Amino acid sequence: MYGYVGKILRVNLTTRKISTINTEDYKEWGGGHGMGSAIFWDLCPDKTVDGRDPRNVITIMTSPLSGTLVPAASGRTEVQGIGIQGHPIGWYTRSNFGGRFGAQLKYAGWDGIVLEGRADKPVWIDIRNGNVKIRDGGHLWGLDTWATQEEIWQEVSDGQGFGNWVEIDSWRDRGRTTQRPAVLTIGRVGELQSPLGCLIHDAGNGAGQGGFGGVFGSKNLKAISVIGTGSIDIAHPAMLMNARLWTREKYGFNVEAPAADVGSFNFPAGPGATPYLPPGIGQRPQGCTGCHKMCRGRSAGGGNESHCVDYLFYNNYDAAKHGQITHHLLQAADLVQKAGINVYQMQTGLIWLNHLYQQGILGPGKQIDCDLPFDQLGDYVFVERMVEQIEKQEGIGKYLFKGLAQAAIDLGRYEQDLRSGILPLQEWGYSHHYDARTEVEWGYGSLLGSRDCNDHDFNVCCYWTPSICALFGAEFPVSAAELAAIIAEKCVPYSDPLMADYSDEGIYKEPMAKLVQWHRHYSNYYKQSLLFCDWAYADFVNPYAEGKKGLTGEAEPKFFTAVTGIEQSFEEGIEIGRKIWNLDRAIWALQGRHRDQEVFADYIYEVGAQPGYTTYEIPYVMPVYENGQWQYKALSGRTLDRQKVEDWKTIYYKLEGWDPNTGRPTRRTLEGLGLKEVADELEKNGKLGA
Amino acid sequence: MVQLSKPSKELVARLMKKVDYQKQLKGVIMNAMAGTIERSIYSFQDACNFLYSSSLEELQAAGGAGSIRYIDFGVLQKWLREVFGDEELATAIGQEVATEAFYGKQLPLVKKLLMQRLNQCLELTQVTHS
Amino acid sequence: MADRKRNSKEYSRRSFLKMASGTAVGLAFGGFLPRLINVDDHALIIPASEGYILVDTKKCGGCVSCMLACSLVHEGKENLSLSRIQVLQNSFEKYPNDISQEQCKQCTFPACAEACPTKALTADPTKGHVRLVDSRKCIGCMQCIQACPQQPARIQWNHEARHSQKCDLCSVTPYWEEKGGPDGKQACVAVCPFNAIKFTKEIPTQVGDFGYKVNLRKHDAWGALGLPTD
Repeated sequence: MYGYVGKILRVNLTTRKISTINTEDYKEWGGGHGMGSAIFWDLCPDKTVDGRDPRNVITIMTSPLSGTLVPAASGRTEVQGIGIQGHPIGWYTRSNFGGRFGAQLKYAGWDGIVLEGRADKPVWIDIRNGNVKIRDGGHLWGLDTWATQEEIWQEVSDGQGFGNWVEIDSWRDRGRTTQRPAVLTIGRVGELQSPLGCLIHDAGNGAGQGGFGGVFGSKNLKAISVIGTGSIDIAHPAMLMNARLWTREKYGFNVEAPAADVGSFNFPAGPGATPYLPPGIGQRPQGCTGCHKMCRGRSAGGGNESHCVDYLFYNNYDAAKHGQITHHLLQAADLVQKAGINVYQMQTGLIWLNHLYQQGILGPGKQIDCDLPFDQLGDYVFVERMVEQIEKQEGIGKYLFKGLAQAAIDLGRYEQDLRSGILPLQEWGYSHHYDARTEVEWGYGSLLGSRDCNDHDFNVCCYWTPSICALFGAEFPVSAAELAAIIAEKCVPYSDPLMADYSDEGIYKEPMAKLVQWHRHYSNYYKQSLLFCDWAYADFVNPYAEGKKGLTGEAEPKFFTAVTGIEQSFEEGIEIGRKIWNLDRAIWALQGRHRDQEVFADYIYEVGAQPGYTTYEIPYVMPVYENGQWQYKALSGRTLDRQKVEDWKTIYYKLEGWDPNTGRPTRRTLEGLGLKEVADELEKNGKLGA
Repeated sequence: MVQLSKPSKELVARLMKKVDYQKQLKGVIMNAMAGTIERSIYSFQDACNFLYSSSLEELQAAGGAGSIRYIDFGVLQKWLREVFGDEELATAIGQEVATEAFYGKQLPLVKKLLMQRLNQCLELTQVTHS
Repeated sequence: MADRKRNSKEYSRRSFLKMASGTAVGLAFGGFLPRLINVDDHALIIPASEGYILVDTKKCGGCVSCMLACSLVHEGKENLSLSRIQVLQNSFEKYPNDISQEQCKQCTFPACAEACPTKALTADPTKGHVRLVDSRKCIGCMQCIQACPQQPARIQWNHEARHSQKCDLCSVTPYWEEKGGPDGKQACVAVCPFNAIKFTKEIPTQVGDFGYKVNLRKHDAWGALGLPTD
């Protein structure tokens, strides 16, 4: 096998049995998410169990591209299982993290890990090549995520330390390495099975959404460590090297001469690092295994690998209080990583609590008693107190510990605060990320799935770049018509010239449904299964490229073939994505999913621009097709029409071959995808689409 | 740049006071990858600190880490007039905004005006700020 | 003594001095001269490599693309343990101590070559005197690895093929179409996203690391990106 290493590790924590699954049995699903869903389908007979039930099956999957030179597709690892964050139901869901773990798992000889059952006491899993041991984790329980990893590093090195070649096995011919073990672990809130618990690897790689940290905690699993010295066979090594250099030359960031176009943050973007560090602090951009763009950083002042919400949840409070970013932010970022807390919930929670505080509803002795030091909001101590209260389930932490949606319910504020939007949980209890009122493909994709979709494919070219250009009066890299044409060309096989129409009419029409279709299928296969990173792919508009056409559609199949030797067209990959999407849809159907549940929070329908006032949203400039012409237009301030959304859902379900009355896959669709047994199972449970 | 006249003690007192919830100003932080984050602003000083400008080149260099602070300037003017009674500052903002067509170019001009007024207030309350 | 003679060419003192004056090796050999002087009237010289890899550890992004490229072009597979350049990192350390890049120095006096009992590791005259291993002659004694004065040793034990191997400046890369070696390209240099690895024909200072760990951040967009150039 090329790309794959042939075996998936299966660990039953109840029986402590360690066995293997042949990767070949699941190869048709690609890797990552596809394999994870297929394995979950086979090994979790009752899909309705709670996420904390020992019968929940967790998959941690790599792809054939993990650990290889494919740019921005080597470093990510996909985690799936029944989550505990989703509201009102912890759907079968997914998360994903970067760093070194997936690569090391491949070098150790494993394409993935399947976790079943529950250990009778805290344990950690020690993987050194083919040697897998379940070890006592009592001494790790209670440690933060960083201390856990450092402790495990010492144990795995057997006292040899680091900075030199280390033999990780009994003799030299099993290999030596200079690399530290890659460890995936949970913090205290995960141990306590909170939905806020996430999985952390190294300083800041996090599988944040879904509550998988709490799921690990429910299994008494503290950490998984992996170190490998093996090889990944590559079908066409020269082709892979050439392809890597081809992307560098034609599409990638050039540190000697950065491209002039603005707003790219996907494949061609420059390094991220931490641009708002306090003055005078040295830093470097840093990236996952095999990455070409290094989106995060490490600094002399801390905040290592905190580059997104793990940083942004607090930077504006720090700057507001101190006039600029200070060490308070860096300490706060490090703290939440160590605590293993989902920072999206922290960010939204802070917005919500601050609203309540400013209204005089929350505070010491108030209607909602809370002694968080709001006069010190912006200081590290505020975050420290908030984390402490969550971990100890004290004060307001007693409520936050259960997740924001449940916290709001317990405090009697769920309906009103979701209606006003001061608690912006847009769908399924997940934090508002991009706005469903304007960027509908984001909202629709999230609503039809299990969580905030976190797929930036259209976000960069259809929203960010046009909005930045509009705000600065810069020339758009491509006109709206050109953008629409590029998208239509690349979004095979659904290519529709009006797919990118975000106008007030267009967002309810069939072309938008085709865009969402393509998006779900592309994401399910290329990004979640083959693990092309969301911060690089899809690449539609690229300032370095000829005609500014990005590499999506050409690069993904090229790299897949170079690594695996399998000839597979882009369209064939999209079709595999459709199959995976339908399998997930079937799992949700078994969990009880019905179209009536697929509604946004009330504020999406009810809160828009008010005369003379801005809304939560900003000048959201996107492509629209109006009066026979394409143009970029500011769309902020609109709301979604409930009935029109329902009508759109009907269009979408029909396009997918789902029952429009329930939103569930039909037998015809499932059998057409080779999923007869799935159709049988749905029918047996009364959940098959008609 | 419009030179603002010295504010009265009463105006300074109003400008340096925190406003209650109903009179907040809404700003938004636009982030390249992390989405838009609402920011409620409860004081004039907070509004001054909230707004800072990056150039287009800085935004491009920042890639996925890029961020813009957005406040609707029409709303800002209304807030300054109705909540603080600073007609002069509101009018001056309108004049500066009218000299440029785009937000990114208007922002540094508005920021300078705001800081001019803030520093006047701070001088009068004997605190320096830059 | 006898071992060293097998690996090197004998020069008379006069011809050595002649050569030394005409090349830049004087400083490079400074630390080793006493050894050479001790050998009767003859000095033993292992010709200097015609190429070297320099790195900027403050610029490195820790992506290990160099390591992936190295094992790919040499072995046709991906394996960090088989990479002839190693990047070590600790994500909890603060910059700049979180990453180190450890490349082979192509030492002007290669202790690895001196230690090899079978002449498997030599300064190959057909490849610009790059110090490399002929795997057919390697008997797996690992003396070269132990002799390397660097930590981690810059010679790897290839546990799959069971022989030593080391950086050859991509002189022998069966899985890359580009010509390598001192007159060609190096995979790590070609693939590094930030140009944090550079090839040079000039012999770096042999004392300490500073000849090999250099600043490559001053002449591109690094500073303009707001990143430190010192």
